[in-house]
Amino acid sequence: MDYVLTTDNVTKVYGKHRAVNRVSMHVEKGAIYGFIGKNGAGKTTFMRMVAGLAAANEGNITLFGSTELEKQRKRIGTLIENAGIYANMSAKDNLEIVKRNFGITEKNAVEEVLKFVGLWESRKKKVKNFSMGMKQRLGLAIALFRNPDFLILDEPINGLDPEGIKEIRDLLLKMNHEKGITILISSHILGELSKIATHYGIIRDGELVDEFKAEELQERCARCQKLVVDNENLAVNILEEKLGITNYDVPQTNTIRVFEKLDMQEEMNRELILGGVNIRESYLAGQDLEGYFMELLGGGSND
Amino acid sequence: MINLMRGELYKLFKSKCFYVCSIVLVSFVLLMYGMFSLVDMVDKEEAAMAGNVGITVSVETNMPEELPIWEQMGVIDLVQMMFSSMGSLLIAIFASVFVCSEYTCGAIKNIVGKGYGRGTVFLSKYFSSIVGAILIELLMLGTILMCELLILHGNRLSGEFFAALAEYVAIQLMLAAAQTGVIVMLNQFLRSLGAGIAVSVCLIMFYPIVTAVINALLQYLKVTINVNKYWVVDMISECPTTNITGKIWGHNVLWSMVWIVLTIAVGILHYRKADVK
Repeated sequence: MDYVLTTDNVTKVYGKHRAVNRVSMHVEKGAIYGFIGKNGAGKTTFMRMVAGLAAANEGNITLFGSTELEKQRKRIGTLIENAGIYANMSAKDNLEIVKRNFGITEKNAVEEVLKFVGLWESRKKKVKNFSMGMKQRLGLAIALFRNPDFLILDEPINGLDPEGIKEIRDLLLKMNHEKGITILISSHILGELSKIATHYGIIRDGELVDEFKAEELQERCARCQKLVVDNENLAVNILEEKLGITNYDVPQTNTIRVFEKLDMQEEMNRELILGGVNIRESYLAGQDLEGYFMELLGGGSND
Repeated sequence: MINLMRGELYKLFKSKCFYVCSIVLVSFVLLMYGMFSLVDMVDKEEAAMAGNVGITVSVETNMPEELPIWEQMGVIDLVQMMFSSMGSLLIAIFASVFVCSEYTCGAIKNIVGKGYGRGTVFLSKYFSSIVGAILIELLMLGTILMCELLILHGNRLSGEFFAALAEYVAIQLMLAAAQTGVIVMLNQFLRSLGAGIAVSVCLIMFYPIVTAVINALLQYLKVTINVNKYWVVDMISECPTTNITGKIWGHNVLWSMVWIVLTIAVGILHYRKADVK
């Protein structure tokens, strides 16, 4: 497997507090990796360590298969916490500074990137007069300036209206599909993240508690066969005796939830009908994405 | 490093604080010349009027006759006054804003961790701040010379004066670079606009209190060192305008270099490990 980022037990300690605790992350090439965690879980601190803004106390970071981080970080674009832009300057001036800092000599590099993020028409406008969405897009333009292979985005859709969120989502998908850029993105808006992410990492209290692919997520969410029948006692007997099912519950009258042998839905239905049970409903049920994430994050609301 | 310097200089010439500090300093020079011109006019009018109207009462004293204002205050004295007061203060404010604004708006994240060493990032900011400070001081000097030409028709600008001025300005610019270095280093520690400006202004305005305390402490410890002789802000105000001997040159060059090297070393050492937010 070709990985853009791998970390091995990366830890960051502030005083006695372990902000990031032994995180081992794996970001595949070409992936959009959704990094999920509550406020203060350690997402931003972890991203700052990968981006070189903070030093890890323990552990190793490997970028593009190399531990020469300073060299490899030239291939990374970042938008962490807020876009680093000068409010008193225009969008074009902000990018002219970045252009000089990176020693880019292409004459129309600024024009190209501004057009890509849809800010060319507003290039002369001072950034302080920009909307939140425009500022985020300018931040993305800065992150994209050196044609990075890997983008690290910390809550890029925070504070945006639905239209702004859609704009950024489309832009990220465009970058991933057209330029093949790998993206590590954190967000609180889980529904939105689930529309673009191909992989997920869940961080809780500084620890990476799970890593999985988007396909796995669907399977994990669908966790029980829900049966609504006319005779629950008879149905339960059939399930136990004919199919050997013991992991089930009856949350309400005539409703049975089966938590095992989920690949035997047809057999369940057949045996129940043959046993004289009328089935009103039978379907694979589970949690919605948000509910599943909440459970992984440790319950409660995502404040 | 060259790329970063190019970026920093672009930022410098687009920076509002660079122009605001320059304009404030130029305005002060103009205000000072305007004030002295008015005083001169009033003096001349009073002299012309003396004895012409009403009764003039004079008391004979041994006091020497007061000289005209332009004779009391030579060009180089004005240059010294501006370098050691407003010049010193405004370049400190400029450097504070120029350094701290990087952290306030978060733009430092566009450089740090982008393939440049932390030391290089620190040095690019350090030297670009010095360039900005020197440009502000030169603009102030240019305004003084312009005022001399326009108001006093260049009567006081002799070849001898320019020779003395060149020597004095060279030392002052060197000391200004060292002072800017101290301010840049402090602001790289503080990284907060308000705190940075407050500390820098206090350092320039109230340093005699600090040096007095240190001197008293040293005296108590029976160490015969006067720290004022080595503190860069004090050196700016104490630098003589004429008869600059080799010893004075040597002292100023040596201690400017000491402050520059010291602030670079401490700054880089701190910045190498510091987290950037």
